[in-house]
Amino acid sequence: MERVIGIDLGTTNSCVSVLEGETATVIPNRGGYKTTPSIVAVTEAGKRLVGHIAKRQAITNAENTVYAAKRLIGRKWDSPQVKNALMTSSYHIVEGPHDDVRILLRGKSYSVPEISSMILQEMKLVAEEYLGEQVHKAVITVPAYFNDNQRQATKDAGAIAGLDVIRIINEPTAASLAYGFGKELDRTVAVYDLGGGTFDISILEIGSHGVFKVISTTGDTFLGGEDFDARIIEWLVQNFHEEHGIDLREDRMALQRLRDAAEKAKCELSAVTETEINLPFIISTSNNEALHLQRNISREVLESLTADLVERTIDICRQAIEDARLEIDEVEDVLLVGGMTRMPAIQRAVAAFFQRAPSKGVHPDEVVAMGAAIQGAALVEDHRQMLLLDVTPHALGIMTFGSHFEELIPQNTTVPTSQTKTFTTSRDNQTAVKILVMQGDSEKADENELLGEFILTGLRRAPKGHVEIEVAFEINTDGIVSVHAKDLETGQAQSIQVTASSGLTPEEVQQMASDAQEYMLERRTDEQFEAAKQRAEVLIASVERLFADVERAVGGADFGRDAIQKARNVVDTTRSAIQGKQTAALQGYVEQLERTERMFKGVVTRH
Amino acid sequence: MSLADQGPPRLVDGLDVRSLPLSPEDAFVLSRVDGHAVPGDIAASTGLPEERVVECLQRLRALGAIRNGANAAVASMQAPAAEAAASTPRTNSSVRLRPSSGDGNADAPRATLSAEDLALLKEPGDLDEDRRRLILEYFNALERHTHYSILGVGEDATKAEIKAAYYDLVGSFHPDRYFGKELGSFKSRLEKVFGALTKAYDVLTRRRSREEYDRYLAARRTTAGLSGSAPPVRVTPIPVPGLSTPAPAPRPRSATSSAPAPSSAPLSPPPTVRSAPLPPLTTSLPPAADPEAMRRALARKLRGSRPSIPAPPRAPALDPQTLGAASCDLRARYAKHLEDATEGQVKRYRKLAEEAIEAQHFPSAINALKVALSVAPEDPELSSLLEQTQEQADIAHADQYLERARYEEKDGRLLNAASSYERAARGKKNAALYDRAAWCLIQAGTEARRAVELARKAVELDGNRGQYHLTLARAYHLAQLPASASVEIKRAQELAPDNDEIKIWVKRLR
Ligand SMILES: Nc1ncnc2c1ncn2[C@@H]1O[C@H](COP(=O)(O)OP(=O)(O)OP(=O)(O)O)[C@@H](O)[C@H]1O
Ligand SMILES: [Mg+2]
Repeated sequence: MERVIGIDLGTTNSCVSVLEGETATVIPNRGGYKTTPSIVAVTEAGKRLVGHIAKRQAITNAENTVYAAKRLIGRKWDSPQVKNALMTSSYHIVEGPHDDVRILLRGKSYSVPEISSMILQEMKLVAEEYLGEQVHKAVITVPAYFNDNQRQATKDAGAIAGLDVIRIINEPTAASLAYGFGKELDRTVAVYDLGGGTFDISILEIGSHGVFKVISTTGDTFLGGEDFDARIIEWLVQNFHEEHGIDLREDRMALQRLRDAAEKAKCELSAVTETEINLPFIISTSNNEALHLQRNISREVLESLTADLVERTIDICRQAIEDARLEIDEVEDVLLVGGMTRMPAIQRAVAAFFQRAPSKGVHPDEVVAMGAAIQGAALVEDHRQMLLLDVTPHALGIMTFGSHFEELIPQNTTVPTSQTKTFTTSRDNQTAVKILVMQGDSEKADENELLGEFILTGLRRAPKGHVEIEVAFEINTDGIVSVHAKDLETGQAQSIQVTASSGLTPEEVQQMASDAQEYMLERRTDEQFEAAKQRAEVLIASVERLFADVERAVGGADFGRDAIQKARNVVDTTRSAIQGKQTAALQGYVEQLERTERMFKGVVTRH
Repeated sequence: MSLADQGPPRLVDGLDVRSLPLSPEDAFVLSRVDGHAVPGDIAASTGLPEERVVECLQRLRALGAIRNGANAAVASMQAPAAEAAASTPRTNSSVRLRPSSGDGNADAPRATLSAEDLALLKEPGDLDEDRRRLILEYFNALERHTHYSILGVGEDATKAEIKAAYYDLVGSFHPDRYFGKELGSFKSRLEKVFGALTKAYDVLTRRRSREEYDRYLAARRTTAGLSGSAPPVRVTPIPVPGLSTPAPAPRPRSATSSAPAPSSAPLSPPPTVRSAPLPPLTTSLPPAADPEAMRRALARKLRGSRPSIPAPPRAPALDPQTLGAASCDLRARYAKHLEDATEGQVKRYRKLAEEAIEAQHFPSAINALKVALSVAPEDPELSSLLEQTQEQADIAHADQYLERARYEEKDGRLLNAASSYERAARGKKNAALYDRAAWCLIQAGTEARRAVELARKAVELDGNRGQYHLTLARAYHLAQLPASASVEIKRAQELAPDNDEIKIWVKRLR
C-alpha cells in the first residue's frame, strides 16, 4: 500500500505527517524542527532556499524572499486582498497573464502556485528522507473558508511539486480528525483555528463508527497572526514617525526587520507581560546619521491594539453557532488550533464565549497535518474506520438577470449533494443563455467569486420568460462542481465540469511541473557534485601531503616513481573534473583517490 | 390462536398473487400487509371489521401468501446489511431494522429487484454483488421513504438514536468508503442515497424542522386516503429526450432535489409498482408515488387481469408444501368465485363506504368507494357519491391540507403544495388559497393550464383583489395566452394601482 502523506500548507509554517499504525507521526525536517517556515527565497547566485534557511536570510534579501504566499493563492489581480498585499509586501507582486498574480524574484516571474509548490516539494523531501522511499500521494489542507479557486490553485501547487493530491481537506476538520481519531467519542466540538493568515471556525459532530460530520463552518481568509503583527508594526512606525519624521515603511529592509521584531514581540508577550523591541541602525537619515529603534511594549498595549481583531473572530464564532442551529452549551469541547491561539487574550475570549476551558489535548501547530495524514490513510486503506462528512463553506449558484445571485446549493450543505432549479429566458427571442457559475455568500453576483461559465445555445425563439431552462448542480466528494443546463422543451442540453480557475491553464501547470522536476534533478546532481567535490578536495590534500613521505620511503625505485606520477595525474584530472563540474567523472576519481591514499598510507607506515 | 399475538403479518417474498385463488376482500387485505400493520391497523385502513380481517389473514396464510412474525422477513432483509457489517462493525445494527411506526408504505427496502436492476448487478466495476444489491434496494425505495423510515428509526426516536442510525448507515453509503474503486453507475446512486439520508438527518436532528416535519407527516397521513383524487387536469408534460444518464431507464429523482418531483413522475414508470411484485398499498402515500397506478394495480388484482408490467423474473415458486392440495382445490373454484365477487363486492364496499361516511371517517369511505369504482367503473351513482364524499372530506380536512401545503411549499415541492392548497381552498372556499395554489404552479413553471384554472377560481370567489388578477395574468402568460394575460394585468392595475409587483408585471407583459 502506497503511503499518503498529510501536508498542512500554512501561511507561516508548514508541517508534514504520516500515519504509522494507529498514530500520526509528525516528521521533523533536517534541522530537527517539526514545522518549516513557509518561506521561499532566491539568492543572488540564483540558488533557491526554502524554510528556515530562507527565513534566516530574509532581512538581507528582503526583495527576493516570499512569505505568506498563501494569502495570494487563487486570488485575482484586482481583488482587494491583492491590493492590500501590494502595499505591505517586501517582495514584488506583478500582474499575471490571466488576471492572476505573479511574483518577481531576481527578474524571473513565478506564479503563486509555483511558490507554494516549492514548499510542498520541501515537505515531500522531508517525508521521503524519513520514510526512506519515494512519496507520490498527499492530502493537503486548506482553510475551510477557501473558495474553489483557491482550492484548485492549491491542487495545482501539489501537481507542480509532483504530488498526486488525492484530496484537499479543511484545516479545522483535519484538526478534529486528529483529536477524535481512534477514540469512540460521541460529542459536538468547535474548532477555533487562528493561524498566520486565516481564521476558521467549524462546528462538528463526532459520532460512532468514526464518523466526523461538519455541521457548520465559516471564517475569514484574511484574518490571522499577520494582522496582529501589522498592528504592532503600525504602532512602531507611527511612534518612529512622530519622533524622527521618517516613514520606515518606505525602506524594504527596515520593513522586514520591523516585521520580524513585531512577530517576535507578539510571541514573547504570550509568555511575559512586557518585552523590548530593539532594532539598532534601523535606518539612516538623509545626512547619513544612523537611527535606532528601541521601545518597550506591554501585553496590555498589544491587547488594546488588537482587541477588535479578537472580537471579530468571536463574531464569526457566533455566526457558526447560529448556522449550526445550536445553543452554545451544546458544544461539548473546544479545540484551539494555530499558533495565534497561544495568545492569552484569545484563549480568554474563546473560553468566555464558549463558556468552557478549551481542550488541552491537541498540539496547535501539528494537529492539522496529522489530520490530513489520517484522512489520507482512511481513503486508501480499506480497513480504516473513519469517515469525514464535510460541507460546502460557500453557497453555490448562478448569476441571473440584473446581476442577481441565485443560490442553488446553500452554505453548509453536506457533500456530495445535488440540486435542480428551473429558470427562464430574460429577453425576447433569446437563443442562447450564458450560465455563470458563482460561489459566495452575497446576493449581488459581482461580490461573489466566478467559478466558471458556459453557454447553452439552440434555444427556440420565444418571448422572454417562455423558454424554460433547467439547471442542475452537483458537488461530489472531491468538491468538484458539475453543472448541467437543459432547455426543457427542446431537450437541448449542455454541461460542464466547473474546474475552478487557479489562475493557471492546465498546460502551464504541466510546464511548471516539468520545470520543477528538472529543477529537482539539477538540485540533486548539484548536491551530489558538492558532496563529491568536498570529498575530492579532502583527498587531494591528503594525497599531496603524502607525496614527500612516499618518495622518501620508496627511494628512487621505478615502481615508486611510477606510482607517484600516476597519483599526480589522478589529482590533476580530478581538479579539471571539479572545474568542469563533471559529477559522474568526479565520483570515479574520488574512488581512485581513495585507493591511492590507502596505498600511500600503507607504503609510508611499512617503511 | 390469535394472529395479533405473533406480530404484524408479512408478505412472502417473490410471490405472484395472480396465481392464488383470492377473493377481492382477501386481495384488499393482502394489499395492506406491509410487515408493520397489525390486523387492527388493517381493519382501520380498509374499513373492514377486525374479525373479518383476521379471517382473511388466516386464509392468506394458508395459501402461503403471508407469514407471521417479524423474524423470518427481517432476516431476509438483513442479509445484505449483515454483509456490510463485515467491513463496518455496527454496534447498533438493530436500529436500522426497527419498523417505522405508522407509515406502512414507507417500508424498509425490499429484497426483490427488477430485471434492469439485476442487469446492473452484472455491470463491470469493483463493487461486490451484495453491496450493489444494498445500494439498489435503498435507491429504489427512496421515493417511498419518510425521513424516519429511511433511517430505520421510529417516529418517537430520540436525537441520539437518529444520530446513531445515521452514522451507521452513512458508513455504507458515502462514496469515500469506496475511494479509488470503479463504481460505474452506482456512484450517482450512492450519492443520491447519501443525500437522502443526510437530508433526513438534518431535518430530524433540528428541533424546529423536526416538529414541522412531524406535523406535515400527520397532516399527510390524515389526508392521504383522500389524495390523488383531484380532478385530472394535468397538462401533458413536455417529453425530455435523454440526458446522458448512465441508468438504463428513467429514474425517480432524488429526494434531495428540490425540483418538483411529480412533474417528472409521469415520465418514469411508477417505481413502486415496478420494483416489488407486491407494492405495499396503504392509506398514506408519499407525494412521489403514483396513487392512481397503485389503485389500478389493485383493481387489476381484484379483477384478476394480467398487469401490463411483467412480474420480475426472480419470483421464486411457492413452497410446494404450502401450495399443497388445498390450493389446487381452491384454484378450481377460482373463476366462479371471481364472478360472484365482482357484483357482491360493489355492494359490500358501497355499504362499507356509507358506514364510514356515517362515522365521519372519510379516508375509509373514499377508499372503499374507489375500490368499488375500480371494479365497476361505469356506475354513475358511485361516482357522484365519491364526489360528494370528497367534498365533505375536503371540508373536514382543510386545516390539515393547509398545514401540508405550507410544508410542501417550504420544502420546495411546489407541485405537491399546489395540490394541497387546492384541497384546502376547496374545503374552505377560500380565494387566497386558490391564488396560492396557482402561484405555486407558476413558480414551478409547469402545468400552466391548471394554474389558469386555479387562478380563475380565486378571481371567481373574490374579483376585487388586484393580486388575484395578477396571478391569473401570470398564469395566462405561462400558458402562452398573451391577450388574456394583458386583460387580466390591466384589471389588476385598476384594482391596485399602487402595487409595485403589479407595476413590474405590467411592464414585463407588455
Ligand atoms: N507564542 C505565540 N504567541 C502568539 N502568537 C504566536 C505564538 N507562536 C506563534 N504565533 C503566531 O501564530 C502564527 C502562525 O501560526 P500557524 O503556524 O498556526 O499558522 P499557519 O498554519 O502557518 O497559517 P494558516 O493556518 O493561517 O495558513 C504566526 O502569526 C505566529 O506569529
Ligand atoms: Mg494553520
